[in-house]
Amino acid sequence: MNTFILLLVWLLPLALALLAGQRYAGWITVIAPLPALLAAAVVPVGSSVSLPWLLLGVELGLDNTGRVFLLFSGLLWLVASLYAAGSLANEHKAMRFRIFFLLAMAGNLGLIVAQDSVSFYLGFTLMGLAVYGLIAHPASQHARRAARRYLAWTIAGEMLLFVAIVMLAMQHGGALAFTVLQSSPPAGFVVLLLIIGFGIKLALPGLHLWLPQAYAVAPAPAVAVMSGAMIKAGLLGWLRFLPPGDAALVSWGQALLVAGVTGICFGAIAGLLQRRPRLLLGYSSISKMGVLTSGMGAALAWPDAASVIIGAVVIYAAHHALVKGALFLGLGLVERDGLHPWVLAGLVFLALALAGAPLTSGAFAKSELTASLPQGAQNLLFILATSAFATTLLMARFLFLVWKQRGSKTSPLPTESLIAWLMLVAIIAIFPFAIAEADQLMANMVPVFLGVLLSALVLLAARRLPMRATSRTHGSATGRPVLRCRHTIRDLARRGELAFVTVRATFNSWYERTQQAVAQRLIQLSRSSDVGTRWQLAGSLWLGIGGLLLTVFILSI
Amino acid sequence: MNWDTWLLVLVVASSLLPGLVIFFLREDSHRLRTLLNLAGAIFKLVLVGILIWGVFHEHVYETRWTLAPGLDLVLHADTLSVLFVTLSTVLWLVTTVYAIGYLENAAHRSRFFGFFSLCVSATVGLALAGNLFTFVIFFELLTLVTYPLVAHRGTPEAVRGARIYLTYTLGGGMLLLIGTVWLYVLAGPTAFVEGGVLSSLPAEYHPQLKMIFVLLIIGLGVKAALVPLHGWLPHAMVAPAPVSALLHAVAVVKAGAFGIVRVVYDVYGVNFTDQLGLLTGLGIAAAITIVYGSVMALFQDNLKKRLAYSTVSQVSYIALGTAILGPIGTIGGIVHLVHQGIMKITLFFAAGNYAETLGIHKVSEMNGVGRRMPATTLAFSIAALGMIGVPPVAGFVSKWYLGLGALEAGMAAWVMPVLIISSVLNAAYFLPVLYRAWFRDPGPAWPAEHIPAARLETSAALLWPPVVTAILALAAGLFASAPYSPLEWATLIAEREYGL
Repeated sequence: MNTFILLLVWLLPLALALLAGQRYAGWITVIAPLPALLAAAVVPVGSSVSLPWLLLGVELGLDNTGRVFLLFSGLLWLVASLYAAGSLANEHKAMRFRIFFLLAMAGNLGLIVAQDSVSFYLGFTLMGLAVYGLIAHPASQHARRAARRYLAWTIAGEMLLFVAIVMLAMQHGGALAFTVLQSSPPAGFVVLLLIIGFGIKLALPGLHLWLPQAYAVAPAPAVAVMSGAMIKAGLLGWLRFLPPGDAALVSWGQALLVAGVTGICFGAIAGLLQRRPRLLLGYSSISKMGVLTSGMGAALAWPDAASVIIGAVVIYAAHHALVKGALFLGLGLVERDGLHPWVLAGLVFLALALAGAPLTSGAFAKSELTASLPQGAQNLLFILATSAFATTLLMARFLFLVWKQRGSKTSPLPTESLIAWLMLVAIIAIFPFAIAEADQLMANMVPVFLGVLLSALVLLAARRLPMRATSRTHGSATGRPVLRCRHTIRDLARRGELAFVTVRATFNSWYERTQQAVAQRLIQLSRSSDVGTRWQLAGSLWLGIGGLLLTVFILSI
Repeated sequence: MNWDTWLLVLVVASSLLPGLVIFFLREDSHRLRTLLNLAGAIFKLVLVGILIWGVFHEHVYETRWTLAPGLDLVLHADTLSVLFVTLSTVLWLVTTVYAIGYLENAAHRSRFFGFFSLCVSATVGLALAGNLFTFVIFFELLTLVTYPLVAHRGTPEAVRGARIYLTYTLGGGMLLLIGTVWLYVLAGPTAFVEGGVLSSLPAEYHPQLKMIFVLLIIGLGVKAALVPLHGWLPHAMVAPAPVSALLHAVAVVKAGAFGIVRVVYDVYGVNFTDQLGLLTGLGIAAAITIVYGSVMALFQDNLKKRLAYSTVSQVSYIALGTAILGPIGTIGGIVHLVHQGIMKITLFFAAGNYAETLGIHKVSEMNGVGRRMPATTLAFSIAALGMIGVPPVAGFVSKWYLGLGALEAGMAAWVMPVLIISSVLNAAYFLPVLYRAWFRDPGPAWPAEHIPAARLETSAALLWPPVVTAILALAAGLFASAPYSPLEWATLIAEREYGL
């Protein structure tokens, strides 16, 4: 029975993808994530399924981490499916969306139950490629470019991961199961590949460039699962492939800590500068993934406390997944039909939850995390507190942007989507009370309070002090200098932005031109029927590539 | 009737005899021709089934004709021959069905199917060849028999393409013959024995052996499209789609790669080749071809030309696997022989479908074709993803073994980057095609809609072959570790080669 359920977790979405062309498929796909929730509830931890005849030998199973992941991923996919069933209308394009949605779901849920490197890679690749279809779904030029950029980064990450898992198999004599792979630490180069490969998925700063535009163009249910469930696959990859508790990985842990903290700061600052709510939430995700990265780094750097830290990190991931997914779904509702009162209330609550206000899941998750950190991690605690403060500011700005956008309406609100979303918000509101202790729920008061205070002050100041000069301010003594100050700051910001945009545009056009020129020349050469040029081309390519390979060969001796 | 002797002759004859009869059929004896074709193919399939069973149980099948003292024509079935024979037979059956549908109402069908059958006979003959002499004979036969297939349409480009093809392959054949004769002078009749026969020769012969190796590889490399000997391949794309499919997946290009595998493993022996320092050179040539082919494929707008350069690149994976010392690399190279065959034939079938049904010859004309021809495009997508190395399609398994083998042999520093760069380039020239097919809206009209949309998107004989081979490609990967998979057979070959 358990075997059957574990198999259904990824088989059902895959099978439904084949049936996605049928008429009521929109509603049938809602049952796809149910086996995952069933597995999380019913299958005992420690069960496993072995399929040695599949691919290169597949091991499936459920452990504690996997169970939490299945719970929040399954829930998020369920709500997103309900939302999508209600909101996506146009016929053949809806079918295409459903197929990619189900394939991504199969990959995501499959990699959670995978207990060996190749099936994990299979789920990861399937998920990565299927998301392309979700991002490219709107037929605009912008979507195409965002999807292409996403695909380039994803393929790069997958290639690095392929090399990493082949090297791991080599290190362990061909074995693929995680139980074997975790028995000894991976070689240094492999760790680097794993960090970068999964770091691309987790949008570490520097590897995050695909994320903002992808989140900006994809349909709301897709972005919800992308930011909620799928981005966490990177974290799961680290958890599976990097065994904590080994002294060799301590320095890597410290590197991850630095990367994580950079992510927290970068995400927060970049997010505050955004003018579109989707981009702001995207950068907020980068910031929160920084928190998860720091947690992972702490687990590696302090191996004795590793299991406790990892438990807290997973809980934090669950909290973020549900809240961020709900935020994007709510934003989708606003984009369709403006700001209804229920939607506004829900968004305010979710914003507070993400910031970690008391009595929300954020407080619970944050206090779990801080409690798990060992004595030496004082700096990290301080940074986490600052991050709570910054997130509150970020969320205040988010609410402000949503408020500004409240008039834009494109189509009436499907009731099913609204109900599904409200259910999710209710779950997020209630579950902390079921599992948290009282003092955990009251954590985080100071940073959040300060954040709310600062946001309120900024809002009042913006209202009081006008942007434009009026007859009142012309005369007043304080009005003019303040006005000048504001104008100067605004001008500086505009100039900076202009400079940045100009530099980027120049670089892009130069890059495009060079690319075009090289491509033209190569096409010319390859199509020319003049034997001389063809030999020239073949010969120079032979010499060039041969020389390169020879160099690498010599250097590798 | 001694089965052991006659089985192999029957396997070759089962396509030779129908082929010879088909030559004399009238143009319009459509049913008799189809019957002969399919009967021959199915009969051959049955015989090959018996052969597989026998070889698996270490039965010895051999046919030997002495043409002159010391010069024997030998047909011998070992594990490697059985692999190639099975691939050829299965794909020939599928291609026959496809060709029947493709060439409906075309001219000179009897001539076409006659040479088609002869082509398969030659391929099966060289697969079953038991020594280098027999191999060379069938190899040359293959050249001569495929020339009329390339020139089938009779247009000036077709004739020109065929002439270029003939020039290259006859030149290569000459070098191959010189190498074989030289080797015969040095070492007597070189039968194919697992582990090679030349390692026992005294050391003063080694420089000559190296020269002979280079000659043999160049001769075989023309057919196997090693750069810079690949020039005939893009020109041979003027042939009808079934011919391109067969040539590129099964017969000609694979025969060249198969020959390279034979020379390295069963004539020289892989350890001896490594001793002579020749494996690295072969590996570098393969690596250059892999990257070069993929780069050139990026710039082709003509779909078949793009697939042609992709073939150039992918077939060299087999040579690369051969150049990696160790059983795992060997497994990777040999299993890719099968996997690449199945995936490539799917791609060519799909390309032929687009051309026959909608008049599409270029990638830029493929906008929105996924909606008009979903099954064909799905088959194309599966095969393309396999080429890129996405699990669980078969190509991933080959890449896995090649990578693992390279790591084991200590060659990973340059083999891994080649594999990765090649995968990325494959993605770069296949994914845009998939994007156009699935995500773009079609133009106002297709270039030339020959077959209108009815219950099935195109005629049944054109639709089922790519669907079947795509399913096979998926199954070869999904069930790679199950018994009777190509991977298991390749493992068996490697075990017998290395004496494990």
